[in-house]
Formats: sequence, C-alpha cells, structure tokens
Amino acid sequence: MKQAVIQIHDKGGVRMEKVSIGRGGLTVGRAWSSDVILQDKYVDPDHLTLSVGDGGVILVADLATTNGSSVAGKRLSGEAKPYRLGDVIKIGDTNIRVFDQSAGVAATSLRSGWYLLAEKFNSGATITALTLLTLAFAALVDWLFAAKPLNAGDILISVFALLVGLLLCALVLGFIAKLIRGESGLRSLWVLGCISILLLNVISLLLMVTRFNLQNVDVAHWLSVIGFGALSVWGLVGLFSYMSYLGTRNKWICSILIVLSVFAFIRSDEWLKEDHELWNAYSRTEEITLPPALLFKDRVSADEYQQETDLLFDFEELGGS
Amino acid sequence: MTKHLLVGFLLFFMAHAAIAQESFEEYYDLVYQIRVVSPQAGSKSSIGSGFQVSKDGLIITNYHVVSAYVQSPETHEIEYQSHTGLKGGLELLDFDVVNDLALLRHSNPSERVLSFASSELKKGETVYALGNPRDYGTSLVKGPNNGMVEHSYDDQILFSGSLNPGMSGGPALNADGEVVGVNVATAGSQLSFLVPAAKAELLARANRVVVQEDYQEEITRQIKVWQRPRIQALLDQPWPTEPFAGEPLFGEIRKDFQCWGYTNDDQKERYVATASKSCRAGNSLYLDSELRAGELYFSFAHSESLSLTATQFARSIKPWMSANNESKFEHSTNYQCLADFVEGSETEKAYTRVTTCVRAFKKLPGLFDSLLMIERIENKQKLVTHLSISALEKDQIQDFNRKFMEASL
Repeated sequence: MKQAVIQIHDKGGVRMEKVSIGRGGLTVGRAWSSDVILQDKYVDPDHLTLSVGDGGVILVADLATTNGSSVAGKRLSGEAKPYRLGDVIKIGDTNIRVFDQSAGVAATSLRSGWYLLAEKFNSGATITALTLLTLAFAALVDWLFAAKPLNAGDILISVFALLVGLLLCALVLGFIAKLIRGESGLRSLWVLGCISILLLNVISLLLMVTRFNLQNVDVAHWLSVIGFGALSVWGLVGLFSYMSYLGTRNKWICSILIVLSVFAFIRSDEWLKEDHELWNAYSRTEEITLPPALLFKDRVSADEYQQETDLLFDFEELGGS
Repeated sequence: MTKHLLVGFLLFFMAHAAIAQESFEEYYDLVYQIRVVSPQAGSKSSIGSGFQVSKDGLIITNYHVVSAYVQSPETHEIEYQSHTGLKGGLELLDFDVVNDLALLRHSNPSERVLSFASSELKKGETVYALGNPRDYGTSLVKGPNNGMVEHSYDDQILFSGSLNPGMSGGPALNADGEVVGVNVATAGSQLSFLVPAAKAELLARANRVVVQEDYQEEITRQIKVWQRPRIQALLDQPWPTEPFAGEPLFGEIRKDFQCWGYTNDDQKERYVATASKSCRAGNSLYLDSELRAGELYFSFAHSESLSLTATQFARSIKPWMSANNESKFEHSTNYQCLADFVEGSETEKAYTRVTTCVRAFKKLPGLFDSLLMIERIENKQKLVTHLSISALEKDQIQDFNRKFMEASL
C-alpha cells in the first residue's frame, strides 16, 4: 500500500486527490466506477491502472485505450511500466502526476517586493492619492516647460489625455496578464503605471538640471541613457512580475535584454552611418537652457575659459595640430 | 535675417546681355572661351572667358572659372575655344583666390594680345566688357564705371552693365581698347563687378608657376596673407560704440561691414519681444562650388518674455549655431565645442554662458572656422551675441573672440 497524491491538470484547472495505491491497482478513467474519475472525452472509461509492484515501485499500464497514454513523452504499451514519481502521464487532454505523500512539499515562497508594493495601495484612497500625485506632477512639468503660456484648459486636457492613456494601457496589459497568468492584476498595473510616470518625470527633471549644469553633450547623452534605461528595466521587471510567472533572475535578464535591444535599435541608425553622413555645419552643444535659479555650477573666469578653448583647435582626425 | 545682396557669380547667374555696337569688332577675336572639362563625364563642368595678355601665351581668367580643376586636377582638364572655333588645352600657371584671378598658358599663342591700361579709370567713364555669355557667342556689354565698391575690404570696380554667366574672366576695356578690369561677378540687373586690372597685371608679371601638388598649400598661404592684416586692423582699432537694446555694443566696425536690424513688433501673437541686428563683412572667398572662406559675421539678439514664465522662457532658448561659410565633408571637420558659465558683472538672477566651436579645414592646414556665442540670461530677458569667423589662424581667432567677448559683455 502506498499513500500518494495524484495531481490532475485538465481544462478545468488543477486539482489534487489523495489516493492509496495497493497491489490490486487503482483505475483511472471516465467510468464512474473508476477510482480516479476524469472528465475528458478522449479518455476511455477504463484508461489506465496504477499499482505497486515489487520493492514498492509504482507501475503504470495502459488498458488498450482508443487514444493511448504516454509517460514523460513516451508512449505507453499494454504492459505495466515502472513509474518515476513526478513524471507527467498524459491521457487525452489531461495531465496526471503522482507524488508520494511522505515526500513533503516545497518551502513557502516569499512574496516579491512587487506584490508588497501593489499591496501598499490596496484601498481606494491610497490609489486615488497616488494617481492624483502622478497627474499633478505631470501637469507641473508640462506647465514648467511649455513652449507657450498654458491656461487651466490646456492643463486639464493634458491631464485627461494622460489618464486615458494610463487606463488603456492598464486594460490592455491586464487582458494579456489574464491570458498568461490567469489574473488581470489591474490594480497592480495601475500602481506600476502611476509610479513609472512619476519616476519618469522626476528623472527627466533631474537630468535636465544635471545636463544644464554640466554643459557636456557626451556625458549628458550617457547620463540620459543610464537614467531612462534604468527606469525602463525597473518598469519591465514590474510588468513581468504582474503579468507572468517568470522567476526573479529571468525577469531581470529579460528586461535588461529588451532595453538593450531597443537602445541598439534606436542607435543603430547612427552607428551604421558613414563618416561623411555624420558631417554637418552645425555646432553640437547642450540643448537645455534653464533659468538662473537652477544654475549651481561655479562660474569660470573669462581667462580660464579661453585657455580651455585652446584645446578645441586639436583635431584627432587630422592627427592633432 | 539679412537683406544683404548676395553676389552671384556669373557662372551661375541669369540675365540678358545688352550688346553694344562700337568699333570693337577686332577685340572679339581676342576673347577665348575657357572650359573646364572632366574627361570621365565627357562634358564641360564650367565655362568662362579669358584673354591673352602676352605674346608668349599668358591668359587671364577668373579663379572661380577654373576652381573645379584646382580642387581636383586629376579629374579635370582646362580647354579653350577661340572666336573662330579653334580648340586646345591650357596649362594653369598661377592663381589668386583673393582677387579671383587665374593665369593660364596657351600652347598655341596668338600674335595679337590685349594690353593693360596705363591711365587711371575715371568715374563715369564707359567700360566695354567682353565675354561669352552662357555659351551663346562672344558679346560686348557697355556700361559706366562707378568707382570702387563701398563696403568692401578689397578693391572691386562697380560696373553698371549686365554681366552674364560665362562672361567671368573676360576683359573689361576702356575706349582705347586697353584692359581696365576683369569681369568677375554680378548682383542683379546692371549691377556688376570687375577686378581692377592692376591685380591681373600683378599676377601676369609675377612669373610664377604653382605645381599641382602645391595648389592647396598655395591657397592656404594666400588666405593667410589676406586674412592677417585684414583681421589685425580690426583687433588694433577701437570698435565705435553703437547702442543696441540699451547696451553699449557696436556695429559697422569698419567700412566693409554692413548691419541690418529686425524686430518682431509687428507679430500679432507673440510671447517674447525680440530685436536683433546682424553685421557682415562684404568680402568672402570663393574656393569651390561648395566651399567658401573668409566670412566675418556677428549678430546681437535681445529678447524679453512678455507672457512666459522663467522656465518657459529659458526653454525657448536653443543655443545652436551654424557655419556662415559653405563647406562640406571633404573640406571641413565637424565643429568641436566648449560651453561654460563665465563670470560676468551679473547678479544671482543672471548668468553668462559662452559657447565656442571650432572646425578645421582638412586641406588648408592651420586655418579654422570658429563660432562664438555669448548668452547673458536673466529670468525674463536675454541678450545673445554671436560671432562667426571663417578661415583664420588660431591666434587671431582667439584674439578676435576675446576682443568680441570683452566688447559685448
């Protein structure tokens, strides 16, 4: 007699049944007289037997069925074959796995930081507060750097557009999550969306101030790449957490790979250009200008500045001057 | 930005020729059509005119007529075609990029030559310009001499006649049939320019031969010789103060500079009030169809926010500049820039950002184009001054930038 647990994975989902397998065997099939009843039209009324053989080995045998059975991908014949605990037995559209009851279960998994993050916003009030903060900050940034004076109507329109965009994204991603993971996680996605937009605005602002104070286009370029790249990776890991069953390591690897490939795709145009295509008659300088209140850098004297400009006359491509 | 008259070279300009009928018939024979051909393309790449000034076959034309040959002698040849249809090859001996002249040698010289005028050309005196406009046949254009062009550093004769493409390099004669100038450019109807004959005579008498390998080196040398005193004089003299937007700035700092102004007062919907002024020196050098050098340009722009906040106003400021002289990859590097905040007299509520950009001429060693921009930004107003210099040596660029910075800060 072996005390076992049988896991049945059919169209209805996964269920577990506690069973005792003895020498006489246990029948699995569609018949109501079966020890384990399956609801699957491709399964015969008496489909297979599980029994305990010599040395306590579990044996599995197909009962000359219409559609047959397989164990771990191998077709099962009429004679009883030893079964390794945990292997998938496929009959019809149903997968069956048998475990030993005495083997015990895996340790409890820890909730990921992403779950805990979403849990923090589990009330209507906290979600509304987060959403309002996000919208207010976006409106502030909009207003700060508008090309023309904005009135309340303009700001309302942009806030409304952001809200609609967020909603559409959450719905579409939620639908995909439902397909992949079985739950839409709309609330989690909404929280993730709000926090991402908030962070995007904060990072943009910080980058602008930094770039303005640096006045160095090359450093500015890499700072932007790193800033926005890190935010994208973070957001993607969040999406994978709420939408898939990927493990922590895989989530990070996938996110980093996606961000790197998008970056490579965007830059490939520039990388593939020949030297003469990169030529132009324009100066290349920092494009951001901010008001005096946001200048924190020390000013240099005119003499120091001009001394530094001496270096501009050395051209690497001409072998220096 | 500017209403400055763009001087179009005759090769590229269209108009109608007025043909005079004086007793100049014999002179028609003395004008050659000069063609630069590229044997690979199997056709002419530029045409102009020229005339023989010595019995041993020296021919004068414009530098810009043969510039395609100078820039790539391996792929071009210079040919002539006489009034009677005779054709042959010409050898380039020497050129003068500053005065736009070239000296060629005829392998089969004619007995009859044109001679340079010995007497001074008087204002109002009639000048007869000969050349082959647009390959239609040798034509004569009559018009008065109006003296030297104002707002020009180099001497050029203002000739009120319609010079046309193809007449470049042809002779301009006085009533005695002596050469007083060389056709060079036009700026529209009846507004044409001649190089004074003395410059051509100097080139013909110099008796030099520049070899192909030294063409670029020679261009470099000529530009440096031209630029040094032209710029040094500007560095040494004080720049007369001219107020702009309440600041003691400057403007037409020498007779070869012309300034133009602009405001956006007439714009209906404006968030920023702007006033600007730009000044340009009248001379620049044509080196090739896509390469010019020697421009001197500066501008001031003052703006004041009418309804923008400090950040919105700052956002409207894009500190970019572009070259004022034409060039391309083969001739110039990209600009290298340095921008920084420089100490000025301003308070906490203002800053001065200075941007300097430099690019080098690839084939003209030691010559650079430079852009300088000084932005003085307060919360609601800014003054941007901009200086663009072309084809100058490093020390003079630095001195000029410094003087400009001091004069505009």
